[in-house]
Amino acid sequence: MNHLNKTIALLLALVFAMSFLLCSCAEKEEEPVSRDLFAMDTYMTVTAYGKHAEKAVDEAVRELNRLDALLSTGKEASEVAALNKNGGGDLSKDTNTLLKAALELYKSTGHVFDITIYPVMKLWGFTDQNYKVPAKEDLAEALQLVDAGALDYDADAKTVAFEKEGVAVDFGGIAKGYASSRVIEIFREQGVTSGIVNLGGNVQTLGQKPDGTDWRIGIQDPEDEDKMLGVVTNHDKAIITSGGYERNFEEDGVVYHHIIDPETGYPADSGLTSVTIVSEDGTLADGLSTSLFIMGKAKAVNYWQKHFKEFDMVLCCDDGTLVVTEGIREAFSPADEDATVEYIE
Amino acid sequence: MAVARKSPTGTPGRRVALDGILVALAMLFSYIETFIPFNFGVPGIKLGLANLVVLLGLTFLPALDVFLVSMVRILLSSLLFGNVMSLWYSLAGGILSFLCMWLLTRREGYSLIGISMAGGVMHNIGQVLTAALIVQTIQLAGYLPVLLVAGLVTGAIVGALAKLLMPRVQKALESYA
Amino acid sequence: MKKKDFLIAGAVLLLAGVLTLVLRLSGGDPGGAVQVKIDGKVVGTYALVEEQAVPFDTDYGHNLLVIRDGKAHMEEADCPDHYCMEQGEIEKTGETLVCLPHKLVVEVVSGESSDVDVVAK
Repeated sequence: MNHLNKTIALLLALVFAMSFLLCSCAEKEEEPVSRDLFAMDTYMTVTAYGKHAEKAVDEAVRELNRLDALLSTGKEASEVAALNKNGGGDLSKDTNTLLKAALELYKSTGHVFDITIYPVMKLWGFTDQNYKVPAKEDLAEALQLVDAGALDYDADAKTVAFEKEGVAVDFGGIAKGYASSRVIEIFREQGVTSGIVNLGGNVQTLGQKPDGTDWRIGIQDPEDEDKMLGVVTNHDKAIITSGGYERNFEEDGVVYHHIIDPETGYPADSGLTSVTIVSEDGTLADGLSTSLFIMGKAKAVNYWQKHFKEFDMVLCCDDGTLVVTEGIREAFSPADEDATVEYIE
Repeated sequence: MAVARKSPTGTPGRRVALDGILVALAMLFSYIETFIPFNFGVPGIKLGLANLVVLLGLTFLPALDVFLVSMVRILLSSLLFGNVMSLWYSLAGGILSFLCMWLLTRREGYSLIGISMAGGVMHNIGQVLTAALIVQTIQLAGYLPVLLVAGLVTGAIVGALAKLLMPRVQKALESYA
Repeated sequence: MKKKDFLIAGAVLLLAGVLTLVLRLSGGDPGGAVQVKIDGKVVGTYALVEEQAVPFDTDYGHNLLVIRDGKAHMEEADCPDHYCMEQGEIEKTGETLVCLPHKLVVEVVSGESSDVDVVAK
């Protein structure tokens, strides 16, 4: 070996030694890896910690884009758009899982959660932001099409057929919850032990924060954008809030929001201003947040008492009272110390 | 460029060969550097290993060659490991720091460490100025003090490395003379 | 190291010191800032201490970000739903204003730390 080669070799060795030294130092501090994207008509942020974070977050973003392309009612190439156009068809793994979950919710909520509400949503313009109050007769006609019970679903063959012309489904009520659960699954598969997903305000956590404490998730005050109702400390949970404040429009001095009661075809007016569900199951949390909002306090409490093992909730009533269930009594702290809080056992 | 000129590097062929080796070496450093996180509390601070090549190159090659080596390195490494944005930042930093170091090498009384420190600082200044131009925010000036000190530290490290390597490079060059 | 090396180091340190002092005296602690991203790309960072109105005009549309009293809010937007204007004021690290139709996100960076990680809404 001559001198030039030796010099280069020495240089390389030095640099490698240094890079390892610096890498090992840097590995100790857990820097979050975070990505944001626009999908499912919302702004999403996925964050993971630890050495597998980079890959996990990339996978998560890919999955979110895939689900968006699959489930979007507005994209002609999506599976859901094809189902609606053809009056049914074969179901992929994801839509099959979603349909199964949707029908279970339909049953357990006493038909309040209904994915066939889509034609009514369209009439109100909530699907394309062409908001308008529909004519009574149009609404009555569209309501005729709303009946998830009439879907001819074959779980073994993984097919669905819509009985009537004009029936259309939209997984929007559970899609984001399903998506956040999928992201958490991907995080787990990739060896991530700490992470958080925020899909336009639908939050799901994995493990605890890197410092070993629980995540602190604020709950939006439905009356004031700049305030919070309170904070839920948690780990490994989906925290999903629904309320009329999220999406609405005004016509002739009346505010119409996007949570439509499939019974009446009009925005639900149940005395609740927001419902927050805390559950390990993101899909369930998403579906229940709107369903219990439609049901109102009494029915929601009743529902919880039958299903208390599956979730916990915070209801915000229009008089400002908060209703908190037993499972998160300790974990929930109201922002306003003077707020009336009712605990349900 | 092709004019045969008497230079300390010998024949034109040898000179071109040395240029090539330096570009390759600088590219390698740029690549390796993408693996080295150097956290100073401000994003984007790098050790500046490729500066080793400029520093050493200036001691035995004509300044024009070293400048070209540096520019080619920046162009290639931005294309390979960065993006168009990083190209502008690096170019500004690279040119400014080269000019500064070249001027200092022509003066007496500065060691490799001092020259490298000046280079590191000027590199960071060049980057902030470009960033301020592109993003149109004067707020970036707030980072300047940190970046100045960071340039000093990284420059000193690279300079010390260069000093370590200098005797070996000299020996290698002599063995070929 | 030679004598003049220390001169360089000293001069730079002095400059850094003076700059810090000047920045401190002129603007106080730079404190929080909002970062604006359009379609995922950072287009600017604006200090919260400075009262300012920053327009953003892209192919997607027009937004006017206003910073006042250390808080940022969306003053104008020609998007169809105007939700960005209804999202109130932001001041704590991690808080965002999102204008979906224009793919515009305003996020507080290096601000006063928030006592929650994320807000469910």
